[in-house]
Amino acid sequence: MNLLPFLAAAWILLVGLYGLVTSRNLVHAVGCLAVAQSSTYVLLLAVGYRRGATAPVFADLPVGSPVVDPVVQALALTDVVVGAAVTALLLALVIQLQKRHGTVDPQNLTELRG
Amino acid sequence: MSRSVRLWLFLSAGAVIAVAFAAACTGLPHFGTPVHPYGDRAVAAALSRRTANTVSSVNFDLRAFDTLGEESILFGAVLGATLLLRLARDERKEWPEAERVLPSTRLFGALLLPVTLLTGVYIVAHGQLTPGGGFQGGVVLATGLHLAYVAADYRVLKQVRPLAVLDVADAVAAGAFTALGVAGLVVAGAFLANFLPLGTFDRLSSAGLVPVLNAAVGVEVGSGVIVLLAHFLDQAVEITGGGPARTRFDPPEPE
Amino acid sequence: MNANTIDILVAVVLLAVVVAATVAALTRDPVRQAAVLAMLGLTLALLFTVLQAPDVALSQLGVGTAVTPLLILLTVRKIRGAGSPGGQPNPGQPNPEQPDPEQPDPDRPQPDRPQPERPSRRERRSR
Repeated sequence: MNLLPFLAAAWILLVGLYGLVTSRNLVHAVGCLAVAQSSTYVLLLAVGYRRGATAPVFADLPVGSPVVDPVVQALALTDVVVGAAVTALLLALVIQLQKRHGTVDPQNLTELRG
Repeated sequence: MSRSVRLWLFLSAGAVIAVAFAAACTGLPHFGTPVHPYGDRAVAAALSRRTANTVSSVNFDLRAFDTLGEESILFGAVLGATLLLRLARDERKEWPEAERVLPSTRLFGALLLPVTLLTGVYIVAHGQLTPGGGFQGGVVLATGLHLAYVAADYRVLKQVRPLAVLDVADAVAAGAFTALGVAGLVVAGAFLANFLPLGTFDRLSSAGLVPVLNAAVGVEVGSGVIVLLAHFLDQAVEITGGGPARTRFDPPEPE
Repeated sequence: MNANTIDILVAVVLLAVVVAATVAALTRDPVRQAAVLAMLGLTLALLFTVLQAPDVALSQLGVGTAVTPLLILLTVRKIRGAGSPGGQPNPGQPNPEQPDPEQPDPDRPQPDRPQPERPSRRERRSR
């Protein structure tokens, strides 16, 4: 159990990259990138977890009670939203590619060369 | 590169990553470890700044400069997508047809829309106290607005979504973050330093600059996501034409 | 709940995340992948809740289950509308003069008024 979340993050990263590398459709590739990115959230939150602690919100919690690490949560939080924006940018690029080259298969794109 | 070569290259690289990653994990503190030096210091600092939600404190006070970078990425992504998805010369817009919606769906959407928007505002406003804040509330606001599309149709969505205003709001909110930072530099002597009274712990008006920055980010994320979705919806629903590369470079025909 | 129960809960949710991620990466059809990604977003939000990160869970719930799959679906609709169905048109024969291969949507009622004539490319440009 002590290593399981870290190894799960590694697996998610690798399976996302595998999908990315073998993709025949750029939309699918962007989806796989989102999968690979979700491994970072899992890793960050696994690093910051503390057994028996509660969420780092002191609104109804006595000051001094054990809480999990808020720093990694802040990192993961912004990561999630920025990740969605980057996904949107990549998908916009895919739409533009489809318009200009008529294909979303990366294999065909290398043959077109502009 | 052929497919099999690429696959083999990936598999060998992936094996190296897997081994190195697993080895690195054995060196990390165990999952659920009680030792969190950074976390403990961040919690202490957040409480000294009278912020109940320490995650918000890290995002908007202790490490607000990082968040400035993040929201700049967001702004850049929205800007880039807008640029990429603008109406090209060989495309045209079609006014979509009105669509029939089940009365129950319409009622459900009409009831839910204000509730969702209110929830979004609540989440943004209470970011310094309870889980939530500009990023989450902005996403809730943006997705909530699209209930208008589910409950009615695209034309109604276009009416409740003043895109020109939202474009400006996005830019102004992105700029407001920097402006607040400069104000901190002028008043308190450091970029993004807190210059507002910290208030009483666990009150809506606590935490100084955090709620203000939260609001700025909430507006930026909300309007940014709406603008993004608007451009994608335009592409999918309205814009037609735009063939493959060949048509684009035709010389303009004489009028 | 004692610590052991929570550990088991974390392990179960983690397993669900891993399975959803694997299925999402191996689903080749983007439309189905969008659905699986929404499931992945949901399991991730659940994992974050179990790991005591409600802030991240809230963010993930909005982005992962709604925004990202929606963007993918809209992109697929655009691409299939512009190219030939299936998203993988033959790149050898682009034929811009052909009308859109997109079939009229059978779910949508046909308009009463006559279909406006598709303007020629010259008219389109002069607009």
